[in-house]
Amino acid sequence: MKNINNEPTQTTSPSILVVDDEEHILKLYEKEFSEDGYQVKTAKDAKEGIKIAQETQLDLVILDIKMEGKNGLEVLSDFRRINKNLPIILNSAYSTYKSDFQSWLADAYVVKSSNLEELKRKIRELVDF
Amino acid sequence: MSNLEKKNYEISPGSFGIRDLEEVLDRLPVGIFKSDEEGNIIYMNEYLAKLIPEQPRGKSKEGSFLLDHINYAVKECLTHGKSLVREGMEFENSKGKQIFLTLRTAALKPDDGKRINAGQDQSSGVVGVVEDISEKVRLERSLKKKISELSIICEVGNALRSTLNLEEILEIILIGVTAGQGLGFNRAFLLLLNKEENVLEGKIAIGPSNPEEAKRIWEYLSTQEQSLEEVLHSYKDALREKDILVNNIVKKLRIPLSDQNNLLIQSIRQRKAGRVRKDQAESETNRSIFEILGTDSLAVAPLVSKDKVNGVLLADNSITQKPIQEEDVKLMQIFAHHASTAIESSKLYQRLAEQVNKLEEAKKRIAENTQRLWRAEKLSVLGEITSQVAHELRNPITVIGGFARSLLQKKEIKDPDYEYLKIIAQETERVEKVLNNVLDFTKPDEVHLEKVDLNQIVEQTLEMMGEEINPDKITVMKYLYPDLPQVRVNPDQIRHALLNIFRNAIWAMPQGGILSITTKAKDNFAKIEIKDTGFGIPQEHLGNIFEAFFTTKPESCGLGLTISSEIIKNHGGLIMAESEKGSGATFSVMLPFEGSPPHEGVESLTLRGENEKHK
Repeated sequence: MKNINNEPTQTTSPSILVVDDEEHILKLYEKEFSEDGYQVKTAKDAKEGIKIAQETQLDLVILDIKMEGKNGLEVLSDFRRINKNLPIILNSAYSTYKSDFQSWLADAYVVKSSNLEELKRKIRELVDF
Repeated sequence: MSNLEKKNYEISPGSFGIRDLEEVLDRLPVGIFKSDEEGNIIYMNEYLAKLIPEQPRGKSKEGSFLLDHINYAVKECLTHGKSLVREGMEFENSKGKQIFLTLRTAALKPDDGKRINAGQDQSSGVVGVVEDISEKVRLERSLKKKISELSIICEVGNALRSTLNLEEILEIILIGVTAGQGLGFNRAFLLLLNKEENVLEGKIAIGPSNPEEAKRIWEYLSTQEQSLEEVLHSYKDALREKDILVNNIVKKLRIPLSDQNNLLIQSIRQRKAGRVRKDQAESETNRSIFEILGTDSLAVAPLVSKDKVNGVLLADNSITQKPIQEEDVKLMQIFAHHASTAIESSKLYQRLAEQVNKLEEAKKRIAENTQRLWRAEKLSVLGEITSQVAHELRNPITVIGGFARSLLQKKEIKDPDYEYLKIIAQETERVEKVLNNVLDFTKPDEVHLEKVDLNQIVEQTLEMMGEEINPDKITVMKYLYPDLPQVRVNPDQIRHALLNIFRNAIWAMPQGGILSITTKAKDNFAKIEIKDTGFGIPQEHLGNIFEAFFTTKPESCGLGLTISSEIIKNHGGLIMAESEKGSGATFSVMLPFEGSPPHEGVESLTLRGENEKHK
């Protein structure tokens, strides 16, 4: 996936970063969102995600919460520090983090589902195509 | 006289004249007579002469005078030549006193005749002795009476000890006082101490209300030939209904303990039984007792054991007018003492029984709470495991379903794989629904309880449903009881439980209808009734609707009502479903008010239904 970072940013298609420690989730999202016309970057943990955010211009981050290393909630503010206008969608198998005030920093909270419609709708709301 | 010769004392001519003999005979304390050969009485001593005019006892009875007895005995003696003894004949002396005499006769044969005077003829005929045994008979009778009294006390005492039921004890006391085999009074009344109001109040009574009734009862009882013990145990039922009048009378007696002049209060204070006549009653308070009871003479015995005053026992003979004897009162006092002890034991027993009940209640409560705690713990452990497993499953399911959907979008419907991919997508969706339900249910905050108003919870749940309730189709009617006491629950869980029931109701009314929600207070429970006008629940399903994975809805996972039921049960409540043909279904949720014990049927759901299978 290294070469993704080296590709020049296309001005027409928004760039989305997906941070998730589940490899197959990354694959699914990459396939689905790129078919919808987004540029998709993926990171398998928070540290890698931060690095990508620092190096590239992003339009949106989809962030898993429960991951190896730092969890999604802990790095939310790190992403915001890099770009305070960067929209972030928390995407977790858990619905309980909704009640955690840290999650309120995110722009949306979508519980994982095989039906990606809700997630896609949120992306459309937050990213100007 | 052992070493003396009898002949030394025989009458000898000159030393002891006929006058002397007569003198001796007259002074003897027994009656002596003699007849000639024809049976004519030719001699009687002075003692006998005084006895002769005495009357046979009992004027109405056919009886003979003493002389008739003597003549008869003499003739018998002469005819058959044998001695005769008649013992304990009953007479009345000139002063009207009852006496008992024994008559003995013996025939004198010429050979046996003693020479009284030298030269006189040999004596013949009959001699006899009449002896007054009244004192002996009286002593015997008194002894018999004492034995009988002792046995009455003993029998009543045994009967009193045989029960700890206060009602029964009071009945035994009254029967013992009135039964012929007992103290034999006509009527008996019992007054007990009311400690709260400091009054002596009439409790129960026994006895006929008029002489006719008395005659009827006593005749009936005399044909029964029962022992006192049998009477005590059997005839109380026979008498109870007939004693309404005396029971009404006794209830009119209500005497404040402060009434120092009252004879009943005095009897209690002095711990002493006694007899009182109406004409001795000086004060108004005492006259009124006789007025109320309608009697002239009363026996009064305090019911006191150790230092405890229980009440007072009254008895009279207003029907037969038989005077009350000192003996009767003494016996009644002993009797009253036994009765008091029995009353005291019964009260102690009742207090003990109450305490035991309380303890048992507490024990039951502890057992229930333990079970609830255990259940909650088990659920919370289960919940944690389930939650972990569910979350672990969610990622792979998302991936499987997500790819299936992704591929599906590019397939033509004609493609053979299209159907299979669709099946994968649908089945994963079903699994996800189960996961959602399980995860919602196993939120980690389940033991946090707070005091809430159930009416608010109902309102909030309806708000949560939002557009799920289409106002064009569903009319929501709320009948919320404004003074509903608060309940101590986990509000999130109760909202969740109600939500599932509301959803079920809405689902049952696809063509629209009325959802009515009623709250009310019932005993120690807050009750929420959720009624719909939908197609109802078939009878055969009523027993299963709370079972996990039971569903008739194709798109449902069958956990909604199970979760509701689990939540309600965990709160010590009860959930019920009823359904009647054509009139929808009613779900009732009962939650205990704060501080109330959980519902007894918490482990078993009560299910009712009149429904026939819905078409």
